[in-house]
Amino acid sequence: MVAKEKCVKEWALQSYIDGELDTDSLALVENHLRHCSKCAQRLVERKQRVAKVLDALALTHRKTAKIRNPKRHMLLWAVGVAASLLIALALSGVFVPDYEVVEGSIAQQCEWVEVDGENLMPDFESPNKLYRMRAIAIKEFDVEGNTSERYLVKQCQHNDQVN
Amino acid sequence: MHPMDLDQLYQDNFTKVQSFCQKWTEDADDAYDIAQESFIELMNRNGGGEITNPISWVYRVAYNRCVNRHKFNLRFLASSDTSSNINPFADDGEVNQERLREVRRAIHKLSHKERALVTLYKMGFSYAEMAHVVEMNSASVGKTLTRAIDKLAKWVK
Repeated sequence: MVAKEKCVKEWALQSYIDGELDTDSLALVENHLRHCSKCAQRLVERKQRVAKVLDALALTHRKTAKIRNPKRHMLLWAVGVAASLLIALALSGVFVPDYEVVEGSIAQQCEWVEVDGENLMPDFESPNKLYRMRAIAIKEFDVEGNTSERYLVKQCQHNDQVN
Repeated sequence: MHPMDLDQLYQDNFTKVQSFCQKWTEDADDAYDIAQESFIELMNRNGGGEITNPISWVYRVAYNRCVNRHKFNLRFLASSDTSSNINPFADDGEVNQERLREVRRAIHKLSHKERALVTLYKMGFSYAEMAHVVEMNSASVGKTLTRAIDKLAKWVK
């Protein structure tokens, strides 16, 4: 008596669609699909399911694409490079205050602003309800060897209506 | 890794990593910060010199940070489950908002790994790359991904 060939598992069908099967497994699956109409039908259904999910996920991807801001992106990358160089050269520490999240609040409408050292500390009681979340120190050197410091601070509008 | 290579790597991948992060945070600034921090961490690791696959490594760091941020939000921010009410781009008339909410609700029901895998899958990652990012056996990626796709297909109309 000839043993009945086992049908292809769902994950193997998925891997087949994705081209992730090794050579031996691929040959086995393709051979089975030629003889098993049930698995061939499952493969069709699986492809439809994958297409449906990718279509749904594309919605959220489209949304994400709208928030990209290349200018800000480049600026902060430059800041990151500067900050890391400062660490590596041990010229200065990167100042990253670790402020606690205000309980029952959510930060919204954040933006990076440049401030001098005197205005660096957070001001939670500010009348315009702004508070600072994070600061990065940038030390600059001119050709004569003089140094100057400025800070980029992430400033967020405080929303105290939430919870 | 040469600084120029690192810079190119950043240029080519930053928005993708940010996009990946936003699937968790659903907040543009948070996603931006996590992506930024992940690349800075790569730089601090000797420019990624000893890391065999810097891109997957950055995604892995971003993934772990996203999961931690998500857990933090669940614990400390009562309204962190934004899946039911988030509407950050209400001006977009082309997209069906109700459908978007439905998709987000479905994604939120997945486990962290499932969520990461479907997101990376959509972004075109191979199973080996996905395995590296979420730190699981690459043989298990296919099974977990299949399960996640089946769940989403069931939950999304």
